[in-house]
Amino acid sequence: METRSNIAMTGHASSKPAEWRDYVSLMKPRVMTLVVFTAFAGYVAAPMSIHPLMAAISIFALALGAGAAGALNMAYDADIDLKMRRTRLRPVPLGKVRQEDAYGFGLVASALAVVLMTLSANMFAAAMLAFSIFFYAVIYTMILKRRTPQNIVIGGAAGAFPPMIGWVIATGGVSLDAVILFSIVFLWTPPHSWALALYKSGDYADAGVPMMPVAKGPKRTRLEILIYSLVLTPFALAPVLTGLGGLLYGLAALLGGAVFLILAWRIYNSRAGEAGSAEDGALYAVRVGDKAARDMFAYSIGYLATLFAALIAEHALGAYIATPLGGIL
Amino acid sequence: MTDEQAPVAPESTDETVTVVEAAQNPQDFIKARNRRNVMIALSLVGFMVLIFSITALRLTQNIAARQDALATEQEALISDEALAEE
Repeated sequence: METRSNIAMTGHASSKPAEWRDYVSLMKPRVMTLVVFTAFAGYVAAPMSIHPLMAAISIFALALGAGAAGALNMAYDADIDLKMRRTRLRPVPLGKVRQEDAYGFGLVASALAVVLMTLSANMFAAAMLAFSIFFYAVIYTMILKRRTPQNIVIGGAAGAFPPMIGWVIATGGVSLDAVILFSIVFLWTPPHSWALALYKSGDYADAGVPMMPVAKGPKRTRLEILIYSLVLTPFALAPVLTGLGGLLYGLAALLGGAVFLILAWRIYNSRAGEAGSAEDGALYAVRVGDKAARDMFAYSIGYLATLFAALIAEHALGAYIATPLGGIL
Repeated sequence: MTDEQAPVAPESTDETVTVVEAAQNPQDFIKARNRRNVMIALSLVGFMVLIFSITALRLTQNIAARQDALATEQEALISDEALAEE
């Protein structure tokens, strides 16, 4: 049986030495992209700003911190990543990067990110960054992930911090709008992650990770996706009521939310998750019965990106048109 | 990331097969290690540039803020003196 300490030494799939690219992939570049995007949206939506160079360095620090948290996650999860088709080609289970090196890399990058954030933005933003790294690496990865089917509900907070940190970089404080941006990502995470878990449930079961479809079954998961979608889509209109979002954002939230609900209803009425996992490890590979879940997973990424893109367009590109509902909250 | 990653003496188990293969070509490890070292060096230089930029910018901003504060203070003193003369 594999243990965490010998995985990296044995190197199951590769005899190639570690390249710098392996350390880049250790930082989960796709997640970093979403972090930078949502943090930038939070920054430009804020009513104040700092020097552009300082802002750029702060966003870079945030991306570095997110990457560091990803590296710590991959270091700790090397044993279960090895058992899952979707993750077995990551650098640590592949044997390219030693587990100790991944830990060291993650810790050093975390420290550098927090120092950079302190110098370029403010102590509050740096403290939030440090807490979000701790939350993802320790609370989610080490404590929640292997213990409870609510893992990504609570752990989703880690991914919801970036837009709030972007706001804090600009203003030095938190406001209702920042909390709303945090809450949108927080409520978006469960339906997004469970849609993936539905059609990759075999993978999670093999690894012993109690994701909702594994622990409570696909039917309950489909119901919870629908419930969270029913909460998320109206809540995503909250920025319109505070005046943070204008007409463009309102339309994006309204139309995007309608499609989101249709897909959630489609999942609820499907048999997604009951056929086990997809045959191969590709992220979007899916059995016929799981198509509704795959569509929801893919669409949810576009939905969140569209909401934040609308905010960026309104606040950075001058597309803001006030609505009569602005300022109600 | 260092010499520790160089191939170790193989044992006759399936799990060490890939390490054995790697041991047959240590040049790959040396090249990869050198490339990693170059990237670490570049990252450190980049970090130094960032810190330097932040420091220079903060200094500029602080000097400007201090000059503004001094100017305001002087204006207040002048107006106080003018009031006292009256």
